[in-house]
Amino acid sequence: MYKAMLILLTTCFFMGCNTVEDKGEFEKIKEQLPEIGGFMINGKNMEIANWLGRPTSDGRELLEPINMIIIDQVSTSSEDSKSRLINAFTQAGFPERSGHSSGYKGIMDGEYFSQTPSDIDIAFADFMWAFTNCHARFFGPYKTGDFWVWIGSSSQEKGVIHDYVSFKNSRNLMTENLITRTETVWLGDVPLNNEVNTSTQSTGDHDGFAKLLKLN
Amino acid sequence: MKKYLIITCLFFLGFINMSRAQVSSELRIEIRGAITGVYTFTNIEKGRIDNEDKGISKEQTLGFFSVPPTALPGNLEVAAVIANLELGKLLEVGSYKMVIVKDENPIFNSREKLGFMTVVRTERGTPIEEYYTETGTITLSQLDEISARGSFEATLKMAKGTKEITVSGSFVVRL
Repeated sequence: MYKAMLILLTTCFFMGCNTVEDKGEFEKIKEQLPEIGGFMINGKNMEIANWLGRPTSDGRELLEPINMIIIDQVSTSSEDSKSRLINAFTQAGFPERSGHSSGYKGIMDGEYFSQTPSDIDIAFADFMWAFTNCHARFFGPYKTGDFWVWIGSSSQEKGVIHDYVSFKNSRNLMTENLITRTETVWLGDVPLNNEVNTSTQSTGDHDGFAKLLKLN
Repeated sequence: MKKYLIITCLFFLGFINMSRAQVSSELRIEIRGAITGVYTFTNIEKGRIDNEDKGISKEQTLGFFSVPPTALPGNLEVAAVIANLELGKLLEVGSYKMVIVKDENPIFNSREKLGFMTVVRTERGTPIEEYYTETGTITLSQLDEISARGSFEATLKMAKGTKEITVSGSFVVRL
């Protein structure tokens, strides 16, 4: 993870993209975040989403973690914030695409939030479902005093059959594209302590952190 | 006798494994129209769709696709899916009629051999032009435990826009 961060920071330094310049801002914003549920929730049974029941290659249940947090200090309404989120992902190369299961929820401060961009088979994704693709579902927004908060679960799946490939690849690619292709700023990584590795359950290659990003 | 039978079986299994090891997936495509060129993809993956809700089993389907980002001039990616939706039938040798694709969903609305194809042009790893089948055929000429082979020709139209391409080519998919 630290190697990935170093590469990301180095890339951003040379490419002039948006990274945190003030560690104080990260801590200040982190303090204001709501309590974030560490996992995406299956809206049908209200249990932790588990890749439609498909186990990992070693037979364990695959739990889907929240691995991205996006804040919006600009929007004046939840609808405005939703539009800005969709625009940012579209500009970053992850437009709304169909072919992804839906009806999921995210939890902030004990409250359930429905799926964005849509609750009907749509997610932010770089390629059509027929290709191996990185896609994400977001939930929110939650309003704190100063900003709106979105949380998301980002993952990479194999083309055609939607088998799990990675959580980290997708999270990192989305983060990289958002900060290099839009005005989004990466503030830092928030530990959600949602990495699972037991004899029966796993969060794959997830490292327990969510990328904290600020829409500008 | 038993010993010779075991030896024969082991030899046969070894032959199958060797044959499987010798087959590599490959897709060759010639494109004309808004995009032109001849491209050969060697990093091809496959998948077989299992969709109980729609009454489709793995044995009825085959999808094969390049894996982005493909390091080829032209920055292209290609994917195709075929399905034998005839009642009680499995994937088999024959002609699969290509269907149109609407909002990234192929219109599989008849019980016959159907398929679709997509060609995507990318820039910085991101799709900038996406073409989907309007008409055409994928012909599956050989199918066994080791591989699926065939050819295709089709007309594809850009999802958002008016550009068109025609494609023809062949594929080998290691199963």
